[in-house]
Amino acid sequence: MSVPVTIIGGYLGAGKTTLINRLLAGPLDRTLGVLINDFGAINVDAELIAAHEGETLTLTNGCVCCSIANDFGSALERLRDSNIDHVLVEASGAAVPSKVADIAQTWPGYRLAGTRVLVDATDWRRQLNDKYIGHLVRAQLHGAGLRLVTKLDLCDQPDRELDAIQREFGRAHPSASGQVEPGLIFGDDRGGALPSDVSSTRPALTSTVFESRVTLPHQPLLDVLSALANRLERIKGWVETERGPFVVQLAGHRVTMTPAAQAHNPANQLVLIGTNDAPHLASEPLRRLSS
Amino acid sequence: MTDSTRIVVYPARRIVTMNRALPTADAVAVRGDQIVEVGTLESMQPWLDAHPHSIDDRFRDAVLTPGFIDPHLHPAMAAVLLPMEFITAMEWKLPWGRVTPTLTADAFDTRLMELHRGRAAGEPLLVWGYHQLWHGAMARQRINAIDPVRPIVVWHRSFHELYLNDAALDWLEITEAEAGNRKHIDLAKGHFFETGLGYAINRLNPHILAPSRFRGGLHRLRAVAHAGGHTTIGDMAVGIFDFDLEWSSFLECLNDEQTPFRTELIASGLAALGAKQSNEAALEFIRALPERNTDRLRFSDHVKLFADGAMFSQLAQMQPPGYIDGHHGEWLSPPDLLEEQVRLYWNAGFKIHVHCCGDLAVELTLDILEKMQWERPRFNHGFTIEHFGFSTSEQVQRIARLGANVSANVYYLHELSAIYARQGIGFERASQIARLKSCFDAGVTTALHSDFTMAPAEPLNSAWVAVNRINAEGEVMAEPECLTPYEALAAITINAAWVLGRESDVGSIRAGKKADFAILEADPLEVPPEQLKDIRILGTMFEGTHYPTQPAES
Repeated sequence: MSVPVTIIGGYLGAGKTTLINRLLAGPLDRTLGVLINDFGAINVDAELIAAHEGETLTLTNGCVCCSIANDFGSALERLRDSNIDHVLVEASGAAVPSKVADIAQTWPGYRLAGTRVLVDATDWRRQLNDKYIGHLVRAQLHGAGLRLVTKLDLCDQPDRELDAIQREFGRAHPSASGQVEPGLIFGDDRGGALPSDVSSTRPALTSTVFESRVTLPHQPLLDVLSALANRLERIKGWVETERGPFVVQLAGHRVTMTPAAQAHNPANQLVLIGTNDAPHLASEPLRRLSS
Repeated sequence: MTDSTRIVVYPARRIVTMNRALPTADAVAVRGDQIVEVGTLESMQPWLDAHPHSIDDRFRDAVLTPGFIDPHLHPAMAAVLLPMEFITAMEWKLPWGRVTPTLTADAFDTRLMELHRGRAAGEPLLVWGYHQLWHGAMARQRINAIDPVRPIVVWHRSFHELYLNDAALDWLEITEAEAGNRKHIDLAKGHFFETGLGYAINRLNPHILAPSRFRGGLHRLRAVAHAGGHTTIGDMAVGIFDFDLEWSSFLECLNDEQTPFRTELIASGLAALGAKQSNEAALEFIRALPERNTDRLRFSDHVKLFADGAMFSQLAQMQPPGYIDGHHGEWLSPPDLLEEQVRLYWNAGFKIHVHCCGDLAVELTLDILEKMQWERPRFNHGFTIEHFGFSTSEQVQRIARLGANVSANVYYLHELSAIYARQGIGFERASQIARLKSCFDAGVTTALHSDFTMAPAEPLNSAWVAVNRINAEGEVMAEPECLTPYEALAAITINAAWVLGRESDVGSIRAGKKADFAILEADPLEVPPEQLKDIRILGTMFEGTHYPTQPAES
């Protein structure tokens, strides 16, 4: 089954990060993988973050964010091993999203859902006339499946700006302070809902963080984790046993423990992700091991 | 080990110093790694009377110039390419053998078969240099006919596409179920292009970036740089693939006594931003890099930034009237990000190098530099326009007025000007690629580089292009922009030293500088200019140690 990919584009300052943060913080009917390619920070609100490992963040709602850091392919490969329902790509401000979309159509395991381009209602006229970025911004907006107009609340005549953008580029939706109907993002380019792989009755994912500072017994820990493998969707984090520090991963109901280069602080931190109260129940045997 | 107290005097047929006050000399006196006097045996007598010395006349029939400096190449890209076998339409002179031109489809298959037969069973074979104009249509069936069992990868000369045979598809675990019916992948032909190439490379990476192979590639780069007569090279984007792999491999391969050159390391500010996630964190990271320095590997106060896309892909950003077909180039960094980065590194006192291929990228970069000079004026700031493919004569004047340097890949003119005149931007602007004489006349410190693997790492070949401006079809392009041989030699020695910030200790032959020489069979200032590229390089001296060139096997 291929995973749908939505490209979020637009020039620097158009509000891509704000929009993605709003989506991640709001109620979601699916688990997102978010790939960020704007040369730098994964700017996800700190309170959403459950674990941070290298260039990958795991969020409390099970979503995963990674920085592409110039290698889109590796990020897509990494995500293939996660339980992700939908991928959002935050395209670089220098990218034309219709070109980024080629990657979703090429990379095995993925398919293109649509492209969304954000445009700053307060600055778009200046941008279009700028000799360095005018062509780029124009190409971004022309190539968009749907246009989302941000910062309308800061305009003197918001209706006039929205109209002007629509006349120049076609259908555009207002997106005040990054608020947007999730269906507009996840749907296809006609603005409707995609025939989704995601069942709307899918139970909500929850998560719990297990932390401990004591060295855990290796074999009993492995036994506990193996027993949890079928009850949880994901486990991610690190532990320290008498054999040294390890990175722990549970994906596709398989647990792996890989020796880590160095110990972490605290020595043990595992994010447990599953449905309903499974994560909470799963943390019990772990707590017993460390007591 | 060189005796650090004894002076060794090397008389030579001629020494071309690139020091204006004493342009040529008969002998150079070296103590340890340093030149103590340049002149005649007679003029250096006071030094010889005062210190133990010997006369070594091994160079008596040779011409010495300052060791060549390529201020912009990419050892990491070379380390990926050089372990591959070459089957190319153009000749490549490599230290381990000359690659003769392969000009037909039959000749390609014959050569591929030879390479296959000469190789242990099961070992994958990676070949670079295929081009359909010479070698005919490629497909996995054609490669299967060479051998269906050995994984064989045929990489296009442009690097932008490749073909895999059945065994290579198996080796990389690429299946019909996974890669069939995808955009930019034609699995029936084993053809991966554009974004499909990224997928194939992702599967190949564990092989082509394997540390042992990468290090083998760096050893080959070392031989290439030595054969070109270099004693200093600049890696103008450390971190281009993987900072830690690159640094650890450089420590292993480019830091020992067998390495006859030093490498100036300039971190990529864009790669550091990707890795550290903020420009401020990238600056802190780059600022601390000199703590790692060794004798031969040196980070300093330089950083590399990027404006526009590649010259070879016609993604350079052009001012109006742009490209004939109306397409546009692309920005590698959004202009506002580039300005933010320049401001950060400018205010931190860095010497900033900006990749600029098209004249719109040059314009943007000069606008930003002008803004910096308004906000916080600096002198001798070492800001350098890198590549300098397309430009206008007015931009050259602005570069001069703003105090910037130019480091140019003049090979673009040779390889691309004929075809870009027809299929890119028209004759006028194509013929004026690498507007170098204007730079010299305006007093801009101007150097030449290869951007290897984009052009051969042969400074005398770059100088030959700059002096003759002969393109791939034999036509002279914009003759008024031809450099004199002296200017071209300056551009691969002392001016290149300026670009790397090493002007006070390398780049010319004078008392006090490092004893770095290129040892040549003929004088580049005396040979007919069209023979510049054919001067034999007999070896180099690096910091007082002689490294003869191994005669190439054929």
